[in-house]
Amino acid sequence: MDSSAASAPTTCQVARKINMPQMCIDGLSENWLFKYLGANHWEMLCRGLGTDSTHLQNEDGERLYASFVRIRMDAARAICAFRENEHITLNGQLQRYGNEMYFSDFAFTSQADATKTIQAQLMTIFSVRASSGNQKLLRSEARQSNAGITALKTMPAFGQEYRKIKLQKLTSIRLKGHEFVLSDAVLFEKEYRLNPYYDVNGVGLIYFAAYPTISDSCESHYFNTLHPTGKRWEQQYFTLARDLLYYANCELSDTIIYRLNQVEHVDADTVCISSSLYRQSDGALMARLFTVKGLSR
Amino acid sequence: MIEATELAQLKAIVRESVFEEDLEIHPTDHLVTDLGLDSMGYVDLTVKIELTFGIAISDKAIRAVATFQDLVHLITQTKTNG
Repeated sequence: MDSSAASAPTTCQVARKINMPQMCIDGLSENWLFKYLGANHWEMLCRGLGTDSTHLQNEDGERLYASFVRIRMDAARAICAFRENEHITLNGQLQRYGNEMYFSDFAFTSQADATKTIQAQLMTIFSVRASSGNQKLLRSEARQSNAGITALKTMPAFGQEYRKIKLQKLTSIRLKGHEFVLSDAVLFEKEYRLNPYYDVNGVGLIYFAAYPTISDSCESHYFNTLHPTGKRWEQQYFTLARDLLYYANCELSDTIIYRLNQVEHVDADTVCISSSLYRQSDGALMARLFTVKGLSR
Repeated sequence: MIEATELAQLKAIVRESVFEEDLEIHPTDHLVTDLGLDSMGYVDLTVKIELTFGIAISDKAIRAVATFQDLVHLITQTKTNG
């Protein structure tokens, strides 16, 4: 259970205990962490707009969805350092740029050991479904007043970088001190069939938190095939940092194509991985993922 | 009409919003197809215009803007009507 002590609608301070639902193989579940951060971003957003999520609408009365644009997390230690029964605190705040872009910053920290901390940034926009499907989501803005959410005077670098990459004005990003050069090279490719019971959220869209899990699942297939003996990849390497740029969603009937673009072993314990996800039906880029993983000893 | 200095300011804002410092801008240039503005660029452009000119622009109004001269017209109108 969470215990909350937020002092303002667009901040959060939550304490909770990590248990099995928050964990996966040998440590904290990144999938759960993304969902948890996303839920707190969403709650601050709804509090700031003074409404609940089901009543978020644009001027035309259409239901709005929060579309995640970019998420970056950077852990001081690999996420497997968080263990069962550990008490953590989540501190966060939300700000906006204009009426359409919302940015949150979080610190997820062990109460017993401050070296176990994860910094995260999230960026969302509002979108409406342009048809009954998931492929066409259009940007929109809430009719509810956002005056209660602090307005930024300049777009954060986090958003600027996303735009520059999309417009091909930026060809590399830095994550945890490592430079990732954008690449469309294909070292490995794998089809991923969506699991509607796990990958889809409550409004029928592919959950933003599913993207890294899909990527990890396909990535592990590559590394486990490369090294078929010994410990599995999933039990050796854990996320230290992740930067995820979202571009599209897809229909449940579609298939996702995973592409491993680059792998760089920067030292004996650290590997930098670039990957991307595509819709099989039309080849549209769905996301780029930049990940730093560390060897667990 | 907006003044020459304001016109120069507006061109600088558009250049910043498309990350092109030396971009030539002509009145009939289309913001998307000629100047390279993306959907998030519209948000950036709106905020910068509002802060620079001290006006409020609605989402619908900015989305209806196609060319640079449309943008000049929108700002002129908004300033006039308050």
